[in-house]
Amino acid sequence: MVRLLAALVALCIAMPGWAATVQLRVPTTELQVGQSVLIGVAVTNGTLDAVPAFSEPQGLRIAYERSEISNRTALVQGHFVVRRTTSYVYKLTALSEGSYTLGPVTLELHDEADQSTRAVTVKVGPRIEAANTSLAAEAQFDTSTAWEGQVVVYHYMLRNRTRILRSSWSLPDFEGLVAPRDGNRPRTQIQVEDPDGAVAIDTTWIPLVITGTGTLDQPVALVQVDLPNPAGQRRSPFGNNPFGANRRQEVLATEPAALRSRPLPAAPDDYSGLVGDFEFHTRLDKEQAAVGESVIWTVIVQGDGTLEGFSLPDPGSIENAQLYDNGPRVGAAVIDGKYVSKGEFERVLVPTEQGDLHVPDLMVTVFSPSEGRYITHEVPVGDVVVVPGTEAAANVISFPMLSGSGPVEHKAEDIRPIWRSGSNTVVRLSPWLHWLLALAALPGLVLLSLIGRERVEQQLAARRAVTGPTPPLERLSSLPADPEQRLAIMDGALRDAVGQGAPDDALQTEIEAVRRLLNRARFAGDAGAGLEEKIRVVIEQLEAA
Amino acid sequence: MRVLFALLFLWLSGCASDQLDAGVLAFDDGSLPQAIEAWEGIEGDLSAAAHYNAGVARYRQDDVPRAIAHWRSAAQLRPRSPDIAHNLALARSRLSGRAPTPVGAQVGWMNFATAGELGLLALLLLCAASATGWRWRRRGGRAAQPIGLSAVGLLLAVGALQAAWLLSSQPIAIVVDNPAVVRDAAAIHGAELLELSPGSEVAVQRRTGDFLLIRTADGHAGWIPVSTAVLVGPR
Repeated sequence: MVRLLAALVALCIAMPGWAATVQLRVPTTELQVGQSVLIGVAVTNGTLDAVPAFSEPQGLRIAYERSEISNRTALVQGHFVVRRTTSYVYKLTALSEGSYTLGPVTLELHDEADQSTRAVTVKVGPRIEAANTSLAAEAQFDTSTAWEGQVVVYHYMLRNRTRILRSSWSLPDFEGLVAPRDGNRPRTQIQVEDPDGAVAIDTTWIPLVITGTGTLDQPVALVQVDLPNPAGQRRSPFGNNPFGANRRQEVLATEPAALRSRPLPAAPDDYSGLVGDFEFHTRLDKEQAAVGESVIWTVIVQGDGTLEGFSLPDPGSIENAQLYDNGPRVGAAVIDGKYVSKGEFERVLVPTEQGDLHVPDLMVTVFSPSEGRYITHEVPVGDVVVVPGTEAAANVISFPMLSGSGPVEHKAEDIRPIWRSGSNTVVRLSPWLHWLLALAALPGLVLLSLIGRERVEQQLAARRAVTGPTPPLERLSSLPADPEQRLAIMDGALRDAVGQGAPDDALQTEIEAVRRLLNRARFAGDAGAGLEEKIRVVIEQLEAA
Repeated sequence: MRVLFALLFLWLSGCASDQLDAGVLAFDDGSLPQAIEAWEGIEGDLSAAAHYNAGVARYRQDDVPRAIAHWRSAAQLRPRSPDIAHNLALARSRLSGRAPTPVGAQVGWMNFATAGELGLLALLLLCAASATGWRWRRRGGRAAQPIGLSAVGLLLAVGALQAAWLLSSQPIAIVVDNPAVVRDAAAIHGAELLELSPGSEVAVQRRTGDFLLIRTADGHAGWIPVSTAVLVGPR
């Protein structure tokens, strides 16, 4: 059974192939002259024949450090998928001020088409000695002016040269802003090598949707930092104990974060409610379909605004087809400090007549913050060639009218046909289930009871072995009230004592006499007065002998 | 042995397909009422095929609520069937905007497995646990295997029994024919809370007299007359 289960698990793990992806990872895009940071090129589910080569912009130095391999297992559409990622790590050093573009890096994948990473711009500023304090906190929005409904990203950052034990942020209430439904709050902790010592930078980004207008400046954010006391000032002999004897606290405040929100201008009638710079792509899963066959029409929306509450505009009735909406898949994330949302909206087209099916262009009106106006995206969808379906080809009517009186004109088949095989009834296991389960569990229960009985017997035997038989004289000290039982115990005690002792002739005679008295008492109904005392005396003499 | 014979007899009686075939013939001839009569008139618990086909015929008669009821019954027996899922989705899309959000299966895992399947798995595991237990008693070794199998088997058995109990005690009801008025008491004079349109899929919590205490997916609860709904599940 275990082997069977293991085989099942192995089958589940046998995952479908997954397309290779490449990614350029740059942890920070702002550096000062002289600083270094580790960057990487990650290849997921693909292999390279050689280490990727960077074109090194003048003013930056990029040196290959090492490669790392990691495996990650995830459950995707009911299958376990193992994603193997190879990361090539480089050390990027800023040599002179300027703005530099890293990448795109084109990678020649083994047995697959070449792929390129995105490009990343890195800004190198002058060395600011004043900013190189041991501890600094910073918080701000990614823009100072935005539109109502736009998504802005607030980030707060702690920069430290000295080791810190703990940090705890107290953020403003964000009045006039709300968190979007989709979108994470990523946090990165990186280390930048600096000529004056390594700098640790801990940054968190929060995406927020603007709901108010006017000045939305946010007050300062506070961070409480626990730092270790210098070695000479330690008060506890037990090192860094959890009660804080060897730590001190510092509270830092950021500058207020400035933000001004502008109200949206009067919206056109067909406004979709989206605020952001979006791209729309559509695709049909097939160019040719049979009558009644489903054609999946997918609309992909990607941009920097929230897709919360967005739905595709109603195209009205499409000639010769029925249209159904499937549920959308919407996700969002903060990537490199920018909010990126992506939604896949599916519609199902079911052609009802053969011929060319023209799907009208998709028109979506959004407000573009970068242009400051409403713009309408016109996305062409395409045509589908509709060929006769199985039933339509035969020009035979599939389904009759309600009265069942003869054939009617073909109606588009949109539900699946009947099943032609099967049984009338089903044998439900449910009413029998508890009996069957009890039956299956019975051998196990019997086994359990046997094991339990054995355990009890073993414990009793062990107890007997430890305590040993009760000495004859001791047995006489706790005689029961029942006369028959009393006499039986006395008889047993006398026999045991005789068996253990070595009586001389006189004692033997005395024993015989006591035995006779005992037998008379047990079997002839004699009262047996003083018998207990006589037996006790005999046993004492036997033990003494 | 008698139990085995009884099970065999039941299984063989379940294999009969005469009425299903008669319904298919009537359906092919274009006689929907006869097909429905053949499929719905089957004595005992209808098979998934009978429910499914009856749903198709009801749908063709534009009786979408009863089609949904049949397909939900079929889905309880064959939860992984793409045909049933497709037809249910299409039927519900015809009611969109009128019926409230349909309630799901009584237990989440019943969307992809039946109580019988889970019970069968529990049976196998318990049998395996017993067998490995006796082997362990004879040969010795580690007791982890029988203990582990017993634990998993018992867990699955509890899940299967709970599902079987929920299917019979708390079925799903589909409002048919006319809108059902939901009242705050199991009486025709109870105050009206809301109205459920035909095709509404609600969970039944209990039955009192001629009324069902129902709960919708969005949390509304109240009483509807039994006559306004059909119940999904074993007869």
